[in-house]
Amino acid sequence: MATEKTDTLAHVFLVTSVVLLLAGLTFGLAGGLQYVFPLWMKDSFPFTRLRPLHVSLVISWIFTAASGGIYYYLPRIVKHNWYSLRLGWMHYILMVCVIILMSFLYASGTFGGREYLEFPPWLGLLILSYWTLFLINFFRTVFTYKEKWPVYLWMWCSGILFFAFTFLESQLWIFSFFRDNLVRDTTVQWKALGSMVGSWNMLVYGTAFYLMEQISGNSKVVHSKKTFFFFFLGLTNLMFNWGHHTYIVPASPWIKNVSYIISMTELLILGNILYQWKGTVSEIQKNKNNPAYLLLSAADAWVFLNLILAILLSVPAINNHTHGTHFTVAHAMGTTIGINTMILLASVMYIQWKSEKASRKFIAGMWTANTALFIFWIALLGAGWTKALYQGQLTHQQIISHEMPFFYTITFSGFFLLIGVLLIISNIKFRSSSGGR
Amino acid sequence: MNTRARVLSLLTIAFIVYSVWVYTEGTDSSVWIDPPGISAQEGKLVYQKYNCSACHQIFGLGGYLGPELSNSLVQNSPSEALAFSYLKYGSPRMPNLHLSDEEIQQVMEYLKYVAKFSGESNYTGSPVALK
Repeated sequence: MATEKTDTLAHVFLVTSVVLLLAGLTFGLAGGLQYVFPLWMKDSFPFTRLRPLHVSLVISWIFTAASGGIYYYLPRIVKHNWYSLRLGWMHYILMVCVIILMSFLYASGTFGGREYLEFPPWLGLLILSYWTLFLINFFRTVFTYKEKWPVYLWMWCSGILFFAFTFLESQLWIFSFFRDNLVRDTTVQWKALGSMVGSWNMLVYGTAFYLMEQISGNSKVVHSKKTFFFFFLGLTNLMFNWGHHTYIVPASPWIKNVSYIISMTELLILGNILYQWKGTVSEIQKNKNNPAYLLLSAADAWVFLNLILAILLSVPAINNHTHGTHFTVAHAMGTTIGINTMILLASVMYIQWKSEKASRKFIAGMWTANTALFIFWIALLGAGWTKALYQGQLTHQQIISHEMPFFYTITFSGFFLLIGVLLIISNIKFRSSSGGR
Repeated sequence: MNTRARVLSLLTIAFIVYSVWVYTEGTDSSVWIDPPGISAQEGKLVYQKYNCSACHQIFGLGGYLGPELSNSLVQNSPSEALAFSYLKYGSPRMPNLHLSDEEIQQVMEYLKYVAKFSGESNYTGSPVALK
């Protein structure tokens, strides 16, 4: 079983993750302010530095919180300790060094990479190193488990492996074979980034399934055929549906056709959510005082909204107008904040909160964060709609002027989103022992 | 091997085969344009060095604060002078990145190279994006 030493490692990951989330949200808010006040820090700390700081810190939050959860849960599942605690600490130390180094590089305006991974390529080697340590440690631990694997173990395995693959793929541009062919370079970059998102979704959804099992005390769902069908469907989407990003790239039409067909299988997931809706609502009623469950329910609602958006954006006729607009940002924010962050906050809450009861402060935080996020999301769609409407008719500056009311709304609601998250986080009592969970 | 492991193995094999196809055939034959010259290649690295993608997109990759650049710079068009001015001095929204004249020329060569591709695709981004 888990020892206090293993739990300490998990807790350190979780504390770090929360710091990263707050830092990431703060830089995001600063970026929003530059949209509405373009002269603010324009030359001293431009958007070229703010954006990668925001994106990298928020992505780091997702990976750190997901890894922290796995460090905590896995010994409880396999009923013995991690293969090597030392590897776990090396993973943590290297990861923190990379995040600090990356933040300094971005803050000083030192880049050299690509969108979302703007750091110079040598830093990628360090990222790959600590992920390999995690990968070895995870697989050496999980393969000792001889019973039938629940779906979350499959999800974590595929998420960890696919992140390693997609990260390597995202660095292929350093070879001239990829870099010197614009179509290949752009397509492979979209492929790597699209699948990379899927890889961390696997880590996060695995966490959600584990939590659901623990909260309900029912193990049937995590072993059911239907759950596994949707796991494989999700994995297929991770592998093949990235192509809807490349509708505008002059690559082989087959890439687009495959992507379109695979994207439409998401309708099955949507149908399943609708089919289970009644049951979901009664479950919420039953667990309405459980903070982790409430966060998972919020994530459920965001899955529903973002799935509809994702399916619409995958339709070529719609994508033709929406690509390159804030529709894409709405989808990205809806998934990273609405789905990933809510699930990971649920995980942090589950591990770190002594009380099973949701406090008033927590409920206030939940509602503030989700209402603000909903307004934020709608405003992003509004900005996207405006650009799609005027694209090709007006100049960029004119379009920005039309979008400005939405940008004010985005920044304003972003501020309240931060407040909501702060309220939720303020309930967490960080401690180094498990408290018996 | 149980059914689940078999499905996973099949999916993984299909993914690897598909990836190799994307790296080669899938991105090789639909449009043929000469490879970029040295100046355009350097321009691409300058574009990365200053993180231009934080605000600008090329084929959808990048931020939305600045205009889309996939077809912004057609060879010998009037927008060339305007682009030079933006790159040299910035604008009310764009910071002055203090690029050297050589770097500016390289970025412009790169953008002209990109524009050749968007002319070959069914790309619908604004053709007057820089105006």
